[in-house]
This record gives sequence, structure tokens and C-alpha cells, in this order.
Amino acid sequence: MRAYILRRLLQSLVVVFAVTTIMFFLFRIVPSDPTVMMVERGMSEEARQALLERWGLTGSLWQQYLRYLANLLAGDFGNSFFYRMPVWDVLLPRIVNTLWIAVPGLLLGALIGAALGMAVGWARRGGAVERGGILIATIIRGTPSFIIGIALLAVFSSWLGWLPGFGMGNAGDATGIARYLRWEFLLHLILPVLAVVIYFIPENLLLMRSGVVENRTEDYIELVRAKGVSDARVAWHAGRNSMLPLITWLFPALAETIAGIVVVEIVFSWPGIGRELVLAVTRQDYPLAQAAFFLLAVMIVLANLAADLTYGKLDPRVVYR
Amino acid sequence: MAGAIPETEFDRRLGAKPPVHLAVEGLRVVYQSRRGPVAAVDGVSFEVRPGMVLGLVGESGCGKSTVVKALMRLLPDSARVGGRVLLDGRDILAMDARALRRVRWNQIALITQSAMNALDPVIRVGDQIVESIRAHEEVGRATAWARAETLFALVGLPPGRLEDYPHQFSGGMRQRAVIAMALSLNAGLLLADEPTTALDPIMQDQIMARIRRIKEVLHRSMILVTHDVGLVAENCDSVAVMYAGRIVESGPASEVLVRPSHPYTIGLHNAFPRMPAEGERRPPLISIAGALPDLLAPPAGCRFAPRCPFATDRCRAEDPALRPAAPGQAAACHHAAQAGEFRRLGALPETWKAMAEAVR
Repeated sequence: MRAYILRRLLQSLVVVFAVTTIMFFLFRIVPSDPTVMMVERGMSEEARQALLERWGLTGSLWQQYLRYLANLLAGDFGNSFFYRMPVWDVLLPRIVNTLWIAVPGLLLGALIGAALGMAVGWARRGGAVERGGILIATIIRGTPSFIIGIALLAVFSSWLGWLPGFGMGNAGDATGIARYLRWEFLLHLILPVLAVVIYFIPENLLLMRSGVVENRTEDYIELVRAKGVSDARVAWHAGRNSMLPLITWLFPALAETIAGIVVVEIVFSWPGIGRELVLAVTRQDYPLAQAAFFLLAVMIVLANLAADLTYGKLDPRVVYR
Repeated sequence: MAGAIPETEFDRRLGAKPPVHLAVEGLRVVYQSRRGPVAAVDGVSFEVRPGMVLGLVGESGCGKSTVVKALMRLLPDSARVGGRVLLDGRDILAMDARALRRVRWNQIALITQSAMNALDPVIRVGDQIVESIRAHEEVGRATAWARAETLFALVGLPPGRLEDYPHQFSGGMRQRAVIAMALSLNAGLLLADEPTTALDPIMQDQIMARIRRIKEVLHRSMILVTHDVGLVAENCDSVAVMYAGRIVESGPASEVLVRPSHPYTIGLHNAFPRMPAEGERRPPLISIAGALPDLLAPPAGCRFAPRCPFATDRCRAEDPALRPAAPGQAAACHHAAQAGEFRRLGALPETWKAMAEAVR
């Protein structure tokens, strides 16, 4: 088990390194000049050189790459071209902001989706619950996430006026955790979280359903029924066995769903890392974009590892070698 | 046999449960197939007296497993079930969901056909037994677990293995675990649906010895479903032979197996290997040519007529009812009176070979 985790961590390291390298060169292959943004018109050539040097944009591509790697190993992601401050200082608060909507959103989405999937899978084949459930899930799944967000905004924010729809509210001069423990912040949180939940439910529902449908005809289910336990308990057995494929999919999906969260953040003007990533790319803010992608890569790799480890917890038949 | 595991108060209380009486009357199971309704079980009646073992025999597809599932109402909703299943006089088929839930496992327990997939793969075996107990009895987990230990000792498994998952068991051990689970509430009726089919002969023998011992010690009513005539001879008091969804012959096991009255039973009898008596030549194995009839369009007369070497025009036109053929014995054959002659001819391979050519 320990050897397995160690080996997987080493593999993960290789993957992250590869992603980092590809990212570095990808940004530099793009035929444009990041200095355009920084260097003001009419600036002397010397001043421009000094600036480039300061930002680490001198020397051959290889030299830049090696310098980048060396800094990365030291934990230095460099400075943002746009904000003119260390990348880490820009990203950290935004990561926290994103976690506020991503964690509850994905968790609730997974739980509700799995529960609904179990109900739909256990319902009579060809009945109204099954047909309706699949139809609704498919429609939501096919809907672009910005439409879900806009619909929520339109109904709850503009029409009913119940909930705020933009940003996180004014934190005043609160710092640290106090920034978040405000009634206003929590109100602002509801709609974006709801958007993530709705976005995330259908896939969980459909996966769980197909698992339950597959399991309900297994021999062991018949024996569980024969034992005279409640129908809900029988369904639980089918659901418990259907969780295995769901978990394999769920963890990597959590990381990949960042794509969906980007849109949610943009629609709700939520200052999270996803929105920042998009802005960084359009601003050609290499250090910031690279750091953000680096973090995403680390997240996806770790999520895969977590999935494999959880799988062993859920299914006693899995052995780690 | 319980070994080091002491019998608990709970064990003794469950041990006092009486065996039950089962009467099945006109059981009929109709499946809706794409090409029309199929009566997989068509008017089956039999009785299991308290503490007795009934053998239900027949080839694959004859409907014997469907009968077992119908008794516990485990068939899919799409199957229409008719007739009466009287358990100590109460009709299981007429019960509401609550009453049915209480009867299951409490009064009828099931030893399933495929011990391979019969247990939930991701739950510890002990917990699956505990689940069956606590679904019906208001006892704590510790009491239920102690009961499971008693049961494991009873079927010859080390109680420590209760902590294991099904995949950590061999096929034979899984079958024992399934038997232990079936005994968890000491139900008055055990349904054993081909309990040894997936096992090798040595393991089959061990499991059947175990089941026989349970029958002697616990004195349960039992239905043993099998296609193995040998198992019936060794284990059953009475026997019902099924063919194409119907019972074609029934009676005391000793009578039916030694002096069968129905040509199908005679054929089954000759299709199984036996030890020859002293100085006798080993009787040849004879198979019954052909296959079960299509139940979508069953033959007009006797369902066995197309494969029967003794069939007459009457057999092909008129459906025979189950009638007394000998004391305590019943057969669904127009010519049961000639059974002695059929037995003599049926022992000759030529009789069936001619039929095989005709079928081809």
C-alpha cells in the first residue's frame, strides 16, 4: 500500500512536470509579444531591456525555461505581469473564493445526484419516474452552464429579487476569515453554489442510475429481497455497489468541472481562480496563467490518486500492487 | 458440532420454532414475452408436510426455479402469478407487502442456486447474516453476530471468517455461508434451489451431508430443487417431477424413483449413472432425445408426447391430468397402467434411439 502510494506520487510528479513544460512552451509559441502590454509607447530601448530583464524575458527560450524551472522548484511562481505582484499573492485569495463555491457545490451535486440516480434506477423500468428523470437529466446536461447561471440570475435575482447575483458583497475592512463570515457573503454564495449543484447533478444521476439498473438484476439483490428487508434497504445494496464506477469518475470530474466553474464565476462575477485564469490568458500574463494551469494539473493528478485510494476503501476486492 | 461456540439464549429461542406446512394449489406463472404470454408454471400443486423434504426435479427450463421464486414472491413484477401458496394455511400470494416482508426469511428462507453471486460483494459476510437477523428480530448487533458465529460453526466454517468478504471465500465456503444465512432465523421452511450445482463432486457431497445433518438436527420442512435424481434419492421423503411447467409425477421418493410411472421419469431415471448391484452389469446411460416444447405454443396433447417412445394418438390429442397411478403415487400419463411394461422397455437403449431418430 505504501509502496503503491509512493509509486503513484512519483508518476504524478512526472505528469505535472510534463504539463508544466508543455504550458511554458505553448504560451511562448503563440505569436504575440507580452511586452506590448507592459512597455509603454515611446519608451527608450534601454528602459525596455531593463524591464524585460526584470521580468525574466531575456535570453534564449531554453535559458528562460531553465530559469523558470529553477524558480518553480524554489516555490517561486514569479510576478504577475498585470498585477505587478507575486503570482501567489494574486492566486491564493482567489483559490479560497473558488473553494467556497466549488466544494459545497460539487459535494451537494454529487450527493443529490447520486441519491436521485438511485431513486431513478430503482423506479419501475419504463415508468414515469425513470423516463422523466432521464429526460430532465439529459436536458440539464445538454444545457450550457452559463444558461443555467443566467436563468438563476433572471429568476431569483432580477425577477423575484430574493438573492444578490453579483460578486461577494462588500467586505468592508474585514480581513481573514471574517471576510467570509458575513450574512451578506453567504447570501451572495447561494446562487453560484446552486448553479454548480445543478450543473453537476445530471452526470452523477445518470451514472448512478445505470449502475443501479445493472445491479438490480444481480443474484445477490434477489437474496437481499428474500431476506425480507425493507425496499429502501434493498435499493441501498444496489446503490452501494453502484458507487464504485461513480467514484472512479467523480474525483477526476471534480477537477475537470473547473471548466464549468469558470463560467459560473464569470456569470456571477465571482472573483475566483477560474475567472482569473481566463483573464490571465487574454492578458498574456504568462506567470499567472502558468501558475494557474500548474495548480489545475496538480489538482487533477491528486484527484485521480484520491479516486484510486477511495476505490480500495469502497471495494474490498481491489488490491494495491 | 457447535464446537467452541456456546449456544446463546437467542439461539435457543429461535431453535424452538416449529417447521411449517406448505400447500401449493394450482400455481400458475405467466411471463409476458415479446411474442406473447408464456406459462412457465402451469397449474402446479404439491404439499410439504412439517419436517419433510420434497424433491422438485426436472431438466433446466422446466420451471422448477420459477416455482421456488413464486413461493417467496421474488419474481419480477411483469410475471403474473395465480393459484394459492398456503403457509400454515395463510396464502402468501394474497399477503400485503408488510406481511410478506415478515414471512420472508422468518418463515421461508432461501439457499440460492449460484453461491458465486448470491452475496453482496462489498459487504462482510457476517454483516450480511446480521442484516437478515436484524430485519426481523429486535436484537443488538452483538447478539446477532453471536448468532452468526453459531451458524458458521454449524455449517463448518471458522467463525473468524465472518469478518471476510465473499471474494475471500472459495466456492464451497460461499455455499456454506449462504446456507448459514438461510438458517439465521431458523425459518420453518427452507428452499434449496440447486444448492450444489456450481460445485465439484466432492464439495457437492460435503454440502449435501451438511444439509442432511441440518435436516436431522433442526427438523425443518424443505424443498430441494435439483436436476440430479441421485440427490433426490439420498435426501428427499417425497418427490415431484416437473416437465414443461407441470408436475408429471409425484409421490414418495422411494416409490417414484424405484418404480416410476411416467415415461419422462423413466427416462430421467435411466439418464443418471448408478452403481450396479453385485454381479450386475452397469446399466447403460440413455438420454432423452429432443428438447422441452416451446411454451408459447405447447403441444395439444401431452407435453411430453413429442419425446415419448410410447406415445399414442390419444397422447397427441388429449392432455392427461395428474391421476393416482399407484398407492401414494400420481402420474400425468394416459397409459400409466402400462408403467411396468414401459419400465422394462425404457431400460433398453433401442427404445429411445428409435425416438431420437424420429425427432431428428
